[in-house]
Amino acid sequence: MTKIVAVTNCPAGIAHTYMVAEAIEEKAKSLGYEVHVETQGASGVENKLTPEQISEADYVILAIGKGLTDHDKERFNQKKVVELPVSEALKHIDTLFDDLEGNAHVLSASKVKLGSDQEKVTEGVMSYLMAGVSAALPFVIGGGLLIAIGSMMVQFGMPNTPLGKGTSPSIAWIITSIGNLGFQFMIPIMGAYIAYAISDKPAFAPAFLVTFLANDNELLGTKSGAGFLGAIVIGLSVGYFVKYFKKLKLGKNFQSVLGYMIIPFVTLLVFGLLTYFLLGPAMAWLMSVMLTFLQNIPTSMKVLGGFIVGAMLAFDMGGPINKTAWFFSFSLLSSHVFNWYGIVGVVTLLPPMAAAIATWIKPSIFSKQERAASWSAFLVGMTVATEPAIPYALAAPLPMITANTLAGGITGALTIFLNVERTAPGIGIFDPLIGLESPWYWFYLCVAVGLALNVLFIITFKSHWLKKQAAKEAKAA
Amino acid sequence: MSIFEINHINMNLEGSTQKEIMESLADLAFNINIINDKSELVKDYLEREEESTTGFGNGVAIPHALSNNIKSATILFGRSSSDIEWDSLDGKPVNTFISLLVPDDQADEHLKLLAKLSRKLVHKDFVKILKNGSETEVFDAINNIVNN
Repeated sequence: MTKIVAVTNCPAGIAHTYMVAEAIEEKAKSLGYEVHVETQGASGVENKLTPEQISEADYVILAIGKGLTDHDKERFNQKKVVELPVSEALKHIDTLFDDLEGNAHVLSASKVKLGSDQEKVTEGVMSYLMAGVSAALPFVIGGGLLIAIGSMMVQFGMPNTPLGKGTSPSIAWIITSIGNLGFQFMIPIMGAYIAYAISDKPAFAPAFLVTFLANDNELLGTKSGAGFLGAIVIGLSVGYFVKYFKKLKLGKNFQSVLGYMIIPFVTLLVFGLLTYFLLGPAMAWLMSVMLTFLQNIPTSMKVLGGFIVGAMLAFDMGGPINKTAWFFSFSLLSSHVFNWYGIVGVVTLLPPMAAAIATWIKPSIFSKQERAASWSAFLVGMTVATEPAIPYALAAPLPMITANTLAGGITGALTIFLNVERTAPGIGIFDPLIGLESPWYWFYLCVAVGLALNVLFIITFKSHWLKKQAAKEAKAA
Repeated sequence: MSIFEINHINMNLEGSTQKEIMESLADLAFNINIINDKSELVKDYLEREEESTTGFGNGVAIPHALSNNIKSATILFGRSSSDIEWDSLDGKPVNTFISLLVPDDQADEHLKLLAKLSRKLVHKDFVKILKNGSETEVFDAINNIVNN
């Protein structure tokens, strides 16, 4: 039987709250549904929904005339919710139930469920990051698979002709370019949804645009975008900024345009300029300092250097630190030094593959969505890109980044110690087969050791971290 | 004094606009001595309509107010001879009015009675009496809900 819970409220809390409650009850009963309606009227909350009723409900109807408290939103997190003004509910009561599935959206408020344990709920910053993870995963999956297909086509001999004057692009290039959009937009989508989870719609647009700016090296004039760590910083700061901005009282005439005009405009201006004039130069400075540092590593300390480069490559997966290590290794190719680029060939495979393997070995420490994305992360990770590891890192930054960085560092040291060389970018784990990476046996040994360590670290660190989070929560409750 | 009595009914409200009807309802409320100030009630009615219409369709509207101008929780009932434009949910004009007046420090029991009445308003047979019933039928129908 379909089960429905609903909440009604209205400006005065005298009439519509109850009319709509009754209408919903009558209609639902006539359809043979089980229904519970909570009324939030002038005399307070009546028929308060119990957690059991909410968790059993297939759909939640929110017929709202004066908004919902954060607490209310939290109660319905991850439920299929149909939200509409109380007067609309009254007007369309006869058709309201026709397509609940189509009209419902899954509410993601500031709580999140980890793993298969539905009781385990985390509040606060982590839940905002999880909102970014859910939004970004489809981008990285869809985009990553397209890029993988495109690269395969090129490696199997199809032309890789870009769009140019007088030439039409090849299909492999087109597919790869479309796939790249997924990677490009994954970062701003993360920033936007992190901010959205904190303070709703007004924060969405400015966070999206500012994260896009921060991740676009051409606009910013830097050698790298800010990557997913930039998305976290911007998503959180825009989110909290807007949260307090919303409390501003502007008087009747301006209050109505605060949310969709004033907040997005001011936030975009302030954070856009901050990003351009502070974050951009700071990143450029950081990268040049790190690059100088890498270039001055004495040759006698090659293994230590390998550790540092490996750790940097795995640290922020496409962010400024990763890019610096990549530049350093890649630029040495022109002087026929191939062993540093060998580290890139090995270490960049590890984070996505290790995250995928960890979800298979210990599914309980990952969310359903993370588990579902594992195959695509594995395939894309072993062939073309590190990006599929980003959502996993975002979902639990501290343990995941620590695990990746440590495993990357150790593997980097091992790779340079065994003198694995890579001559050009290829298709990841198949590089030795097409002659780009050698000797093949040391390459595969390094990958195997790296993966084993990385998976072990992920499981150890993340389990420990989850336990600590749970303990913290139990203490707070 | 009871929340609803026979003299809370005016089967012939004067007026041809929303505001005039509200003024007539305010007259009625003033005459039975449950408000301090007529124009204040009209203002409160109008403010509520601005939030969203109280015309819920079928030619019935429920203008209501919550204010310290109101002395005790009261239900008023009225009909107008002409059809009044009310910006209703179904777009149709209105000729039947049921008004709920609540002081802002109202005790729970009265609010519960009004909630009970509001719930009834989505039942077609009840609305039919409000629209077409005689004065006594309307009185009995409402009285049955709130005074029992």
